[in-house]
Amino acid sequence: MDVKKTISRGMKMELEGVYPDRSSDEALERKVESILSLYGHDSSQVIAILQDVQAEFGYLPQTAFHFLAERLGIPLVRLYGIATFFKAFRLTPRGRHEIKLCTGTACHVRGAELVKDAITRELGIEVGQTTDDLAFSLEKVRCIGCCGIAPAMMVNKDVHGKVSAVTLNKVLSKYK
Amino acid sequence: MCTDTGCRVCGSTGVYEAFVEEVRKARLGRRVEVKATGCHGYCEKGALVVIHPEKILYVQVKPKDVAEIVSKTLKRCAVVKRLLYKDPESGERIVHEGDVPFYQKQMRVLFGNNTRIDPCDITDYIACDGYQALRGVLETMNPRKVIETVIRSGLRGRGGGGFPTGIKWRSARKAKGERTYVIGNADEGDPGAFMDRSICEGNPHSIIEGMLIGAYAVGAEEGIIYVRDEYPLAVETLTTAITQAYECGLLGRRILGSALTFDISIMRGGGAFVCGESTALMASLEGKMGEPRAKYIHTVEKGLWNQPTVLNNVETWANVPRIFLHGVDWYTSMGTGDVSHDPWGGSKGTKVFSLVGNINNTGLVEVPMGISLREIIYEIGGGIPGGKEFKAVQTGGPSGGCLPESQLDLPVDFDRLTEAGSMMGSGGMIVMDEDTCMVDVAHYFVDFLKDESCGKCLPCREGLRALSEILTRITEGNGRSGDIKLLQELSETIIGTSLCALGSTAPNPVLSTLRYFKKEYISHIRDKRCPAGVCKALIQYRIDAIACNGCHACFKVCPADCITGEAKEIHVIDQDTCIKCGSCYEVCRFDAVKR
Amino acid sequence: MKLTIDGKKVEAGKGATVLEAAAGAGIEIPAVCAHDALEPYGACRLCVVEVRQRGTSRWRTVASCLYPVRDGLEVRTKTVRVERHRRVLIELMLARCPGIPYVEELARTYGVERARFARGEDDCIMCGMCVRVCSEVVGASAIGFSSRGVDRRVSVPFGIDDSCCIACGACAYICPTGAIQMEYERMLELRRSEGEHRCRYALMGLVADAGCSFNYECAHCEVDQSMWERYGGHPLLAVRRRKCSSKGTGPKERPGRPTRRRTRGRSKGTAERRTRGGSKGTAERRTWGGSKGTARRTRTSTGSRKR
Repeated sequence: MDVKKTISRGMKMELEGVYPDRSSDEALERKVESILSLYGHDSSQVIAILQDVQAEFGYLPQTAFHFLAERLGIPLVRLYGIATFFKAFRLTPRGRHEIKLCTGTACHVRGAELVKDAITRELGIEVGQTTDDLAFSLEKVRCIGCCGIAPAMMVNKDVHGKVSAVTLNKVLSKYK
Repeated sequence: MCTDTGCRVCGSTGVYEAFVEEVRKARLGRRVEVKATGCHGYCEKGALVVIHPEKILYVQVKPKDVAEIVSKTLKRCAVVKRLLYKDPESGERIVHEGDVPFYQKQMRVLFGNNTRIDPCDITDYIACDGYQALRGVLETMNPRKVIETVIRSGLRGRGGGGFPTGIKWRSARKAKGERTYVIGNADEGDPGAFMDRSICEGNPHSIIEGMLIGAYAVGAEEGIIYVRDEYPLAVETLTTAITQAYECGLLGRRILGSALTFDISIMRGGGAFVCGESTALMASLEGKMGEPRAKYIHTVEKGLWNQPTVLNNVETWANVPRIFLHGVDWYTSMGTGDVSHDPWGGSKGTKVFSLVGNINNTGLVEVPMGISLREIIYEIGGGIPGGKEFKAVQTGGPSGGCLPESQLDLPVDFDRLTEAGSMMGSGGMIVMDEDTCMVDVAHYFVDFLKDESCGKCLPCREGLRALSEILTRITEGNGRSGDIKLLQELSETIIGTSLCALGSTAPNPVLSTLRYFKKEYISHIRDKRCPAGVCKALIQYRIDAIACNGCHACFKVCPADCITGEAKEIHVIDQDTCIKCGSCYEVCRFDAVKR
Repeated sequence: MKLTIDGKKVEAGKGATVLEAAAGAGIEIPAVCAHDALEPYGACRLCVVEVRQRGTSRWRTVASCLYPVRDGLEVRTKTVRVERHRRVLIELMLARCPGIPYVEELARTYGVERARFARGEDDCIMCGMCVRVCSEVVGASAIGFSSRGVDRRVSVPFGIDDSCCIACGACAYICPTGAIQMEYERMLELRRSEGEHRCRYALMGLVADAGCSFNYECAHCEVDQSMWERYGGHPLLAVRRRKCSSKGTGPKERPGRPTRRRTRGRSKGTAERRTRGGSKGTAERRTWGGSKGTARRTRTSTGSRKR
């Protein structure tokens, strides 16, 4: 197997923070097709393909599903099942700033739940929701490996440690 | 210097750049090499800088400190005292890495090289005897001998199950199939565990070398490393490492001139804890939902694509080259029990734990098997911060158990932990102090597993829902008298009938807290009281009129405007409007807010 | 393979499961998600039994629908432990789906009086037979599981996209609780709008390609009558079941995919998971081509299938 395949394009784009807008169906199909060809249209690589498609569009557009099902020759319902099974996939667009609140054990023990309540109070969104102005979306994630500075949260790619209900405002105001 | 994810949060990237810049400015380029290495383990004190060959350790380094380090230490061989590690008890400054208590008790077999290796440079690994084990194996041993050696070493799976690795390899070698697969599992999902990530980011070649030896032993030509998608840096490092291995002829055809052919590819996981389970992992490798299936026919016989498959945790793989490099006798000298006749007879080698929670020294620790929990927590971990009492230590990830003070002298090995109602798991170790409510902890883990259950089988899906519902009831003060019995009965069925290991270990946190902390359950149910003051419905925040000096800090932070009082007057919390967010408790510097 | 089940000596073919071996010997083990025409799945866990392999002393609890028979295996199907597990499992099922006759009957049989857990309001027990029949037997893969854990559901893609459904009705037929019903109006609407009038059995590949002259009211059609008379159940499942039982080793063979699968374009009809609350009367009238007769047949045969 070709190793280069593993440095997928989507991965790179994610690291560089590229965030393209929704595009027309034709452009979408072209982009999806180029991702598919990276994987040689191998249907067993469907999870990696979906990850790349999501990295490209920020979420998984419904039209991409039909196209993928057809090109990979797998039932649409299986694609839909995978996309809803794995937490990494989103079927709706996200906010400009993604808040990922770590709810690993260390963070829980040091009060992550209180931080969650504070975010909900401040932004009016629950976990899994996006603010109406598409500015923030809130997600709970498993341990992000920063247990030393618990409770921790990530906004986009920046990690903020020792967050509390009191210091939260300061963190969020950077992104407003 | 360490540039692992944990230290990056503490600004290590900036420190690294500053070093490169300062060294260039000071024209020390010939004598000094600045290296971005993997995790040193002591994440609490990041960013860490170690200066070789003297092994001077600087902790909590900021970019502005770099100029001083360069001018003093690098140019004049003097130490910068204020950046040295300070012993919290004696207040003494410690110069050398090995003398810091955090490192003293450790035996860094897997992580030892992390401070010396740039993970993105294969020559660093080779300089530290990398790939020597592979060469030795290929030149002097046949596959049967390799398997025998691994069996004799007593190496057991580090991912959680503790199955003897050599036995697994032997079954895979015997199994009939068109081809055999070798998989490295780095889908580390335990909340509070990050050793797999650190190995992938710090020493990726040790995994590759281990997998190569395994592939030779079982006759596999294809390997896959399954990494969590949440670890972008690990994916990047592994990818670089694999590419370099191909360039050096250590992967591909005719490796090191032998007949061995082996390819490795990386798969990124989709974010599902259940995919750490072998059959679910394989299902997701085949491009399906990550649902486990029954293992009445083992995966070593029919695994990925129904072919014989050897799946080991990446930490297990990283152990393999060490065994061949230093020999079985060296390896079996560490650990407990006797494995010379029975590989189940003991636990050998070292184990990496991620020590987190209410503890002074958070980080990754690598210790020989058989060390006591007390040594890990008090001598390496430095005890509980803030002078608080130790309450419990949770080992084995979400499906492990919580062990109390009375079990602290337990030697850490696979079998002892299981006997005590917990397990080794992948090596998460979460320390909890007196302010932790054990019912809440059990509730937290059950909820986590409920979210992560795949939902295929009834006992796990519905059973965890029911467990969570009962625990919610108890933490909200609506517990009923028969609830403890119901929890036990339900747990028994979930353990007995679940399809996979996620379900059949899921009630462990409930059972172990019931076993050691039943009193807390009773006070929640009968007295409607949370002794640790965690369960929101059962606590009240109030201000102690004697201690309050009217600093007004709580008034300012209260998001619900329920605190009244003027500056320099005693403040009062209105219980009807209080939302119990805890902000006032947190800001009060005079301990006047009580709960 | 020779094994002992509840003290009785039983012989079974290689590759058979304990559940099949027990059924062959007339020993009853409850199983909700197992079906002769489908691959073993192991979701309901009601079929747990205790087994002990030759030469070992430990009794293990395993799911008999998946556990392969081995020589000298000892099986106990009715121990105190097994029965206790079954009762808790049924209790959990009852809590999820209260008021469903099938589940209530199961509870009565095993002496579960009431569920001690919060009652849900679902009518699907997640046995997954509909999903498996759709992919394994029909080959349409129109319905599938989505989400995970407690949120797991049976649905068509995005909850609305039924373009892969061929309206064969196998899922509704196999469903033990009546959670899946055919939407007759939608089926008619879509068919008429596309100007296609093809017999459902032709879509399933059971009769020669033919148009429908009965406006899809199958109850009036002789093709439908003859099918049910011939197979005594849903034709697709009956065909499949016979194939398996003649081999005697359980359902191991995968059926070939029907060639018509993806060539049909837009929906021919639709199967949908119905939310609770719709009157059962209406639902039954809608079942299977709108005839009461057909609906009743569905019910009785579902009932008799229960083991």
